[in-house]
This record gives sequence, C-alpha cells and structure tokens, in this order.
Amino acid sequence: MADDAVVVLTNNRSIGEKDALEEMVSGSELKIFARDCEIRNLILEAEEMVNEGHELVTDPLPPNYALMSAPVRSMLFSAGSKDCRSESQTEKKRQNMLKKLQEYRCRLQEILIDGERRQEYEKVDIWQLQAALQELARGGIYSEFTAEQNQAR
Amino acid sequence: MNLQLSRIKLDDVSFGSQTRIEDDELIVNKGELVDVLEEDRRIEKAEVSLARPGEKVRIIPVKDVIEPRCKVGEGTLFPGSLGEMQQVGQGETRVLDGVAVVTTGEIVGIQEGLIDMWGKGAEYTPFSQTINVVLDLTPVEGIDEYDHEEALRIAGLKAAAYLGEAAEDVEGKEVEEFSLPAIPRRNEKLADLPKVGYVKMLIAQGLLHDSYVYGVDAKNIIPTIIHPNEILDGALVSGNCVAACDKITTYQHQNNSIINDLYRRHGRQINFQGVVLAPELTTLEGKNRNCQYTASLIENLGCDGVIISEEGYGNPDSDLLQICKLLEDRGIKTVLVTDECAGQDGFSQSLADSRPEAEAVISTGNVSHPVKLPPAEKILGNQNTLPNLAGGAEQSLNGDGGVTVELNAVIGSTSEIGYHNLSAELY
Repeated sequence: MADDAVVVLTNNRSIGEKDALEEMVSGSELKIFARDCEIRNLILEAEEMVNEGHELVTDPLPPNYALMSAPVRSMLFSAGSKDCRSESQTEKKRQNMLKKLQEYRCRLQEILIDGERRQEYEKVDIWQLQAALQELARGGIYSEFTAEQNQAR
Repeated sequence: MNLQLSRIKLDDVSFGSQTRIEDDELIVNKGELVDVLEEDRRIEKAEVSLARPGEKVRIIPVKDVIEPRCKVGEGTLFPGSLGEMQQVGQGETRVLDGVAVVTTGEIVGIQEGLIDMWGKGAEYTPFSQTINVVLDLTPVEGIDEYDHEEALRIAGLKAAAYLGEAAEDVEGKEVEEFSLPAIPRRNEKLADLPKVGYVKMLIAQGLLHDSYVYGVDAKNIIPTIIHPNEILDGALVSGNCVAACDKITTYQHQNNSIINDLYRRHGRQINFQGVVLAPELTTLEGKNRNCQYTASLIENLGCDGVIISEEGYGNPDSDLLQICKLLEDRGIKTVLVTDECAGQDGFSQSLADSRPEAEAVISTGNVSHPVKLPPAEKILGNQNTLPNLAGGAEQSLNGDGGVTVELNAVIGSTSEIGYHNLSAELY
C-alpha cells in the first residue's frame, strides 16, 4: 500500500506559513497536520498515526539535550509502508517506531518544557525539518511534492 | 601519510603595527584583521579583543573556537571550506600553540555557550587556558540565519588562517610526527597487535547542527574512511552549535584526543587501523543506512575493536547504540564515548537509548550539573543572551552579576571526544 504522500505532524505554529518547505519538496503530496497542542499530546497523536499505518520517517527525538525542553516538534511520516516489506518486517518496524515515540514521551516526564523561548525553538525545528526533507529529496524517495495544508485530518 | 605538527609555543598576544611572532609573542595588526573579516559583505562590523587565562573575562555567546595554523609550502588551511580542495594530513603544519580564535554572535540563543577565563568557570572549559583572539561579529541587517551562520563560521577560519601566516617564517621548537603507512604494510609489521579503529560520529541535522568534511556538508556523504591525519590537519570544520558543552568545536577536531591517544598507543599496544566518519542524520532510514555502512567499513578494515565517539544527545544516541550492536554482533569489541544528560541530581537515565551490548562506556560528564559562576569584570559579547543559552534560564543572572547555569552552557565542558577538563574519581 505504497503512498507517495508525506505528512508533517507539527505543533510548530510557524510551519503553516513556511513556503520553504514547499519549495524543497516537489512531486508528491505534502500534507501538513498542524496542531495547536502540547508536545506530549503531539507524541500521542504520532503514536495513533503509527497504529493507523503511517510510517514514521524522522527520528522523533531532537539531536541534543537543549531541544528536549522545546515546546515544539515536527515529525515526518509517510502515508504507508513500502510494498516490498513482509508483514513481519512491517510489524517489527511499527513496534520500533512506537518504542521511539514512547521513549520520547517517557523522557519528557522528567523535563521542564521551556515555554519562554518558543520562537527560537520554532526556528530550529524548521531547520531540522528542512534537513529531513532535503535528505528525502536527495534519496529520490519523494521527487515531486505539492504542498497542501491539512488542518483537519 | 606523514604529518608534522610544528608547535610554536606562544606566551602572549598583543596588538601592534604588523602581524608577526616575536620572542614567543604573537603581535596582531588589529586593523588588518578587521579588514580581512569585513571583506565579507555579510559582516557589517568586526571587533577584535583579547582574553587571557586568569583575566576576569566572560566570552558570551560563543559560536566556535579555532586553532590558528599555517601550512608550510603549497598547502591550504581548511581546504574546501576556506580555499580550494587540497588533501591535508601530510607535510608540515605550524601551530600557534596556546592561542585560539573565538567567534561570538547570537544566531539562535538556545544553541550557544560561554567561556570564563578565570575562577570556577575556567575549570570547566579547556578554552580558558588559551589566549583567545575574540571576534565579535555584527551581521548586516536583514541577513538570514543560513548566511549569518556561514559568515561567522568562515570568519573564524579566515582569522585562524590570517594569524597562522605569522608562523610562515618561524620554526616550531616542538615537532610532533603523525605517520601511518598504508594498511597492508601496517598489518604486516604489527601482526601481533590488536587492530583498533575509531568511529567518529558527526552531527548532520540542519542549520546549527551541521559538520563539514573538506567543505562538504556531512549530510551529503555516506560514512567514509578518512586518514586520522586529515582530521588533525583541518579536514573537519564545525557548523555545529549543539549544546555548548558537547558541541565539538573546530579546535577540538584539530586536536582530537581520541586520535592522539590511538597514535600514542599505535605500534606498542595496538595497531591503529584508521577512522570512519559517521554522519548522524535525521531520518530513520538514513540512520539505519549509515549505521550499517559504518559497521561494514569497520569490519572490512579488519578491526578487532573500535572506539565510537558521539556528537549530541537524543536521536544520536540511537545511532551510537545501533553501531555498537552491529559491531558487537560481528564480534568486534566496542568502547563508547558519550556524555550524560542525567538531570541536576544525576539520577535520571543518562542516554535516550540503551542496549545490553554497550558494556564499555566512557562518560565525559553530566551536562545538567549546575555551576555557579562569579561576576566578570569584563564581558566580551553580550551577557544578556545568557537566559537564552542551553543550560541557562531567566533566573540565571544573579543579582551580583554572577550566573548560575548547567554545564550545558559552558563551551567544551563535556566534550564527547574527550578534549575537556572533567575526569572521574574513584571513591
């Protein structure tokens, strides 16, 4: 059930206005699921998406301790898994994705979320998302995207 | 490949009419250096100051630290980043030993750090022991963050090259030689010694989280073998502002402690096989590919054991542990080098991932450890950025001008390649 659509699940308020994402990916469909929620709820929704069959493309964890306090995060999903995988491979991968999200949620219980510098965190989040989209574009996985803002899934 | 690092030990730095080295002192023509920096149209204003060990000076917010050097002959310093591509790691390179270029400038506060040149803070950063030529760089108005970061990064390299030119006609009194012949010849001669490799992980995750290999953004490469001399001689440049404590500055790349230690043991205890650079990507597929590729390269080098150093925390932890597992499964022993994010009391889980195969782990310190630093007599940069630093907070500025921060905020305090001051004590 391969599907070229790529989904950005985010609570980064500035993503919706960000044309840069659209420029970076051209060819398949880019959907932005923008949420106005706390990061913990965003991760719960990510877990639901994985259970519904979406494939987590980016590692949900940030690349440093400072960003663990960030109130914003964007995660990249594809709409389905690759055709060539067996059911057991798909299930193993799904469990792995869920484990990563649950670990992130678990770590957040010990972290004080920093709401005072939201704009700064939003910028860094966008740069990381751009890096991920570039990575995908280089790999030729998603060659042409058109942006579509999807507020209500 | 044979590299001679010729060290010119410098006792002081001052400003004067001509940039030169005289009686173990570096004299800097400040105006000329400013002109070199302001050649870049993205920089509106460059200010140059000095900070010496023991002075009550705080440098904040710090972007990068670079060691000034000079390639003797036709070589290029930081090829690919600063000049044309030319392989480094061979020939003579002169080092202005005891001096560092420090760039400051606020791009995004949560990613920058501080250096204290005296007192408690000085104990936590190796860059309190260098005489620092501090560049305070103001960008032109309206510059975007990508250009701002690149302008600061290149400015630091240019300053290091400019100062390094002062060593063109000065020979170092201490020469360190780094020589590793081709692997088959090495193995023939040292057949009885265990073959040890080094996996150097590099952050590669977007603006302020990037690294450059001969000027190439590490996001764009797959894991690759590189001669250790190339790293010691400027092939790697930091574009990384991951938490200040464990970002690996360009200076630390130039003086990689793990490579230096492996060299010291080579031919006596071990047979050093070489280095694999492993970029830490953002996507799960990219991570998986790079970890497998790294393990394959190490296996093909014929290593019996390997040291793996991380850069960052969080998602890079999963790369670190995956590489460890893949190698241990192949019967290759691993030692991991990382810092810990264990909370202020040190009781939280240290890494974001774990594996039973990771039995040998070296901790370079707890980034959350709180430190109280006294008020400085002089600030180079802008102390008002302090609440925005990782490890800082609104309440970090104490009433007396002192600061309370986590080690997170101190540049190079928990370096994951071991170029830092912390050590462990058994008790």
